Amino acid sequence: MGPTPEVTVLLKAWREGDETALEALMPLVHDELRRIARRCLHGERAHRSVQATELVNEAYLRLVDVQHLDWKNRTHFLAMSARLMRRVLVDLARSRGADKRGGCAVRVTLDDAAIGGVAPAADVIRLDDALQALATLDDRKSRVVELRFFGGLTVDETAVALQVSSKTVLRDWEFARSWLQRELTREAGRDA
Amino acid sequence: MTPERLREIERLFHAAREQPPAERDAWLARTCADDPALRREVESLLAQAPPGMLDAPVGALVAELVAPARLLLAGRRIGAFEVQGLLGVGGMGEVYRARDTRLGRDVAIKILPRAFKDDPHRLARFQREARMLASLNHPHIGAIYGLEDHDDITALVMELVEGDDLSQRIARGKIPIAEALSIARQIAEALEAAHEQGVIHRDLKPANIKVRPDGAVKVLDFGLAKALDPASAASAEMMNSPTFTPPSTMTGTIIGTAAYMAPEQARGKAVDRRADIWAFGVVVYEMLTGRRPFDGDDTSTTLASVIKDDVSWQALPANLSAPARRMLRRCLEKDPRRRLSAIGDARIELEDAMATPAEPVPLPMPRRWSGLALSAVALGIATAFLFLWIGRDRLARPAAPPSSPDTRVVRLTDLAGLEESPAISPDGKSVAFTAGEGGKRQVFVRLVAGGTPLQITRDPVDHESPRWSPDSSSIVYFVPAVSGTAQGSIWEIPALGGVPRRVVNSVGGADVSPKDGRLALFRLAKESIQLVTAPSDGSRFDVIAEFAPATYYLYPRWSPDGKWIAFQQGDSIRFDVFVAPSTGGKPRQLTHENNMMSGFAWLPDSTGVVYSSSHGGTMPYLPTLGLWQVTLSDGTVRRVTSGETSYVSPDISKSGAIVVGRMKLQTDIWRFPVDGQPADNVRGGVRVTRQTGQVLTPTAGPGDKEVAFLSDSGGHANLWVVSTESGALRQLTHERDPNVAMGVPVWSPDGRAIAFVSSRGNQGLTFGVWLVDADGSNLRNVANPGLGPAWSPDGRWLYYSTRGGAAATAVVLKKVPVDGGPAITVTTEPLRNVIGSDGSTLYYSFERPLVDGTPEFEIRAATPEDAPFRVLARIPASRVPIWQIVNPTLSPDGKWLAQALTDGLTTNVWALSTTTGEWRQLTDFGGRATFIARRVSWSSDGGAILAALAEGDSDIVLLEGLISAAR
Repeated sequence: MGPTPEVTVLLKAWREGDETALEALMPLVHDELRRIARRCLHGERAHRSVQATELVNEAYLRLVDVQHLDWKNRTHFLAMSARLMRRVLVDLARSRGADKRGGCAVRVTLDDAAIGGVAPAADVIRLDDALQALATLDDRKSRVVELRFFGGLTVDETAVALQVSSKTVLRDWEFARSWLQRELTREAGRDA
Repeated sequence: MTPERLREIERLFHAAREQPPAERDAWLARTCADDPALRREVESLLAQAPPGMLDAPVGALVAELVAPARLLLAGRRIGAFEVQGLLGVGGMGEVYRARDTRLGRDVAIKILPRAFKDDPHRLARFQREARMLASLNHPHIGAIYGLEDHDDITALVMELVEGDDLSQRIARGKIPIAEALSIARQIAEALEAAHEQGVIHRDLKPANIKVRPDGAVKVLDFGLAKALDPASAASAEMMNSPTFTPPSTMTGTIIGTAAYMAPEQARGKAVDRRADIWAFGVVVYEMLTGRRPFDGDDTSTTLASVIKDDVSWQALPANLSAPARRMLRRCLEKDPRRRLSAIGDARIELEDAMATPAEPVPLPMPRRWSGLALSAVALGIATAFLFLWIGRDRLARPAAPPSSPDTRVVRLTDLAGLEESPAISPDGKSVAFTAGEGGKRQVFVRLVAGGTPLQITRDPVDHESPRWSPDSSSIVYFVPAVSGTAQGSIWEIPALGGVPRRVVNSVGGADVSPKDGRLALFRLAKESIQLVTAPSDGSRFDVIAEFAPATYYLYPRWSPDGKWIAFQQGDSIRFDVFVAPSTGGKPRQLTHENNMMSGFAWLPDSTGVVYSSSHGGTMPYLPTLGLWQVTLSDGTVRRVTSGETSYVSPDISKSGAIVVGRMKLQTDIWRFPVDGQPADNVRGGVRVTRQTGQVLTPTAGPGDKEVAFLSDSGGHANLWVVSTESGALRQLTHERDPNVAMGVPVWSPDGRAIAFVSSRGNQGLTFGVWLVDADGSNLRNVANPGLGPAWSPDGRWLYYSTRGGAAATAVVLKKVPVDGGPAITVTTEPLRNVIGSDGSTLYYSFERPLVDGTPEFEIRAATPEDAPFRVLARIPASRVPIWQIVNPTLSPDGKWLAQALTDGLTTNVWALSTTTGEWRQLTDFGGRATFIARRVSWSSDGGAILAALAEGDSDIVLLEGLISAAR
């Protein structure tokens, strides 16, 4: 699938405040992400080498006619991508049938953290919740994590996007990282 | 939580991170002195060590999410396993029922996330854990069979357990007492078996306890509980690095289910087996009452309940027996130091409970000292201790079997009491060791592959340090000197038993060259000690090196290539390994420990040795001895084992497996009356500290209102005081420097201050004398170096021994005014430890050098204190407890000196009359393998003795995979 006018239009609409555009956009992005990831899994590149920016860029390059978008700059584009990526991942996670409690028919209580694993579906949802909670206390920190983690932005890019200093981003990131990790492990422990 | 609160937390978070790690806790405690909740918040954030989810590239997450959701469908095969159906899905992936076509049994298989396959380090770590967990073999533990790796799938193969889980059972209502206790006992047995292997569950809860229809219980997912060592989460590279220093901050991760989490776990602190004991208590409570003792609408309120709320004991069935109630209360102590520290104790209480009819009335505590005993339960300076004292890194790395990628631990002996001095035969098939039999050490041989140990010596003397001949056909051992002779003797006996043959006299154990069978040993010459080699018949000696006799020389060991002889040399407390060319020449120092050591062994390629050392410990009596490795060429030192377990007298096979004595001592302070027969005094003993733990060297305060002692509760040796009336506990000193060891508090006669020794400011185990007021204030150093402080009866002077005189090893006795002023030399008589003064007579101990012909200690008395001494008593070195310390305590009336003495495997407390010089035995522990660490204390009325008593149990274990990485 090449760039489609449909996606470009939807993105523009979303950027201009039309949330329904996002709803329409999601399935398209899903499919593309799925295709890319599957190729990564079975191709020569192990998926661990797929960085967020790469993935996002690749998805957008395929979906969006970037040339015809009036993004102010690349950073802004990535910032939007980060939000979209977050939405996509949460949606994907929900589609995997995982809720916060890991929720399928039979509970399995393997100790995730003991083997250092990422419990992808449940963790994404927990992270999303924790980020929302954090946003009510300190919106900027929530944004820093969104940009850095979901968007793969560097500290400097994040600083530009949020119009704060890199030092502030770094401090925000360090604190939020510990905060979220704690919230995640606490939550993960509950009725996993 | 408000935005303002978050900002405050963040501010402290960043500020705390700017503090040096070692000072962070103290800084935080100071800063948040009036807001413990704030401190907890910040602590739990600081405990979040990367990497976490947010440190992984999001691409991996995407790949996980979009990968085909159900890789396995019924009917698919993974190796020999035929997948039958989905059992469940959890955070980590899917669990399927499968058929093992090779063994014809049904199993559960758990598909691990792809992330494992793609991260070799993570996979290796998991494989290591899985191997360890697979070694847990117990009827009440759901087994892990292995790890399958096929194509793009990594799967854990586990025992399939049919039946309801306990949470489903409890959902139907509370469980009748008898049945609940039966289930509880089985859970306790499972935990006990796992804890013995160093594995803690970390997430014990009803959902992972299965009750089969026949009533049998299986605890699941021990599985993925980490081994006790959080360092297993650290990288293997770190473990193998010569410069590896464990992190000093706590690295606990919050794992577990909120309602069953121990308070320390909920706070994100490092956890140990006591977290399991807590969870066990919660589960038992829930079975008996049908509801959880701590609960909330969500995680944070549940955690808050765990931390704050009291248990509603009234909810327990009225007819629940006293032992069961007691056990529950001890399991559900919020302070882990007060909690039951061994699940085996819970099992025993349960067995009592099951044999006890209902009796809900608690027993009154009859006496003041019983109140102390009770408070000691509360104080419980806990954690299982061993030959013990924990290293600097204990908080960060709770007890753990040594772990590295391919480590395997095989227990070779399981006899009661002490098994010591293992030696592996050159053919690698057998291990010789000594074990107590009829109060004497006898030589036993056991096949590594299994079977019953064979006792090969029987004569009623101690047999020590067995070593094999190169063809594995015979064993050489040492019989120590009996009283009146300077040297013991080396004997040889066929490895299958037979008639022993005396080879030669020696001051200690010999070694046999693996190349040509020549002996290496230390012998007494006219005015020196010689390291010699000799043919196996002992017919002549070749002198390798010659030494002054004032020092101890132990464990001669040939290098496997025959080129070197290494040995341990020291002043009876502090040792180092030296190495000499086997053809003769000046020995050079290989280690620079200045620590307690207990044996060493050459690496198979002769490039270095593995030695047992108290390195890194802060409580020298008794220490934990860990294994360390030093390289011959450059002296590089590397940690081999860590944790609370002591490893002593290592030997190494040609293939690089270490056989070693694994020792655990559990200390408690006991109070024994002294007015009865020795055995009756033991029967009348009251355990002052109920929890097993690192509690040492008690000293009674004025009027016996308080007892001070040394404990490493909190991770570092420090002085603590318990009130005998209220049970209130307070920490007196707050030493945190991992390089500083502390010891031997002695309370002043007027009760104002406590004297002790600390190595602060010095290197290794060189001590200075310090004072602290009884309220914890006014900490001060009054002498450095200095050892063995003792008070003048008026409390105005402190006596101590210190270096002085002509020779570097000479020791003199000084006294210093407590309120300031210069120290005065009292006597330059060579001495070991000052004992005390009754105002007119001064008592001190003296160590007679071996070369004088009789290795022994003297207790000397001088009246007045600077007059010539008289010898009050002589103690053969063989009767002095480990570490060769004679440190008696003067009774309040000045008539008796109390000292621990050893006979065979048992140590008892004796009293020496200061008037007649006669000994009176105060305790008789029968055949128990008791240790009494250093100084005991008289109660202030003189009617009782306080002693830190440990019961020894050591086994021989085989450690594989620990040193391969180094070669």
